[in-house]
Amino acid sequence: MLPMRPEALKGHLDALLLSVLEDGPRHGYAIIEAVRTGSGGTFDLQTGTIYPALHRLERAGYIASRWHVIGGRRRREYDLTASGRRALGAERAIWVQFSTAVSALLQEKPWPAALS
Amino acid sequence: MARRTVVKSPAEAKLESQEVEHYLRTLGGQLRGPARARAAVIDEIRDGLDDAIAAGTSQGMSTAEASEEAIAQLGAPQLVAAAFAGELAIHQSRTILWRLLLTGPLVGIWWFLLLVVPSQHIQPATVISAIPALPVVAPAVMIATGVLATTGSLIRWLPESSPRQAALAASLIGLVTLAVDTTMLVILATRVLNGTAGSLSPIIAGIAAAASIGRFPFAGAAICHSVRRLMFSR
Repeated sequence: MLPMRPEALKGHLDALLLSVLEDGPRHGYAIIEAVRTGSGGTFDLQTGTIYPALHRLERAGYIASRWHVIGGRRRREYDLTASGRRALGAERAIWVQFSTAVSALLQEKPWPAALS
Repeated sequence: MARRTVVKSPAEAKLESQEVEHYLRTLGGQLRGPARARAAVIDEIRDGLDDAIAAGTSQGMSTAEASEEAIAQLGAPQLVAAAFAGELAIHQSRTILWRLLLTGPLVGIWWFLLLVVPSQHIQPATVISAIPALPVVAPAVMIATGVLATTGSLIRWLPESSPRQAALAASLIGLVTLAVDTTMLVILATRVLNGTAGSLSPIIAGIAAAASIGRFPFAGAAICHSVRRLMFSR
């Protein structure tokens, strides 16, 4: 698998973070792991950059967080809001349209067709 | 990969704790913003590190290896602090703007009762037009409201203000607050010195002056924080 440059994710990180919260609330590390494992290890980002992105999504009202204490540890859990769910749906639709168009243009064409 | 539970020895646990604490101390020293927000960031990062170390040890790493791996995955403290800088700056600017917006009416109402109401007939348009600070306060309130809107949940629909723009707005509103409070105090002092303060209620005058003076350090701190942000953020 080709390594993915972090800048390739620019503009898509928000949608990825929203998508891993679709199934239910998660803590920060679980979100990061879900992005990593969900992408088959392709998106192996420095975790320190994910937390600010989560804070920004919360500021936008797409996710909500709550603190709780488990075993003496303060933990912050993020959950998708109704706005976040709508935004995720919109991002998905845009991505399908975009990726279909890009795939159509970038896919390798048979030899004679490539010449025409 | 098969997971197995690794029981940490006290020495290993101490090593992990030392490494994590050193990292968090360094990160804490690099973060800029309100103390509560910085503490929340540190708590969240600590929790993530604990999870990452637990995951590493359950996959067979030693505690030292897992700690090192978790910290490397998080990134250098300088990079993490830089990644948080924008969010913390916006958080700080929003806190300042909310405080100044909310204390505005609480301070202004006393000056209004002191200087405007006794000398005006009760007609809303006349009374409002007699507020001397209105030409300065009204645009400041509009700017503050606009920045709060474009750094909050309305960024879904509106162009987002940058951390720098938010800091600039916060320093501007701080300056306006300081200027308006000073002006009102000078007006009151002038009337007292000229002997024309006889018609003013001394109790309301005292409350209004105390409210404005009480806001001085607050507005000054807002300006200092914002100027520092403007100097150190890009």
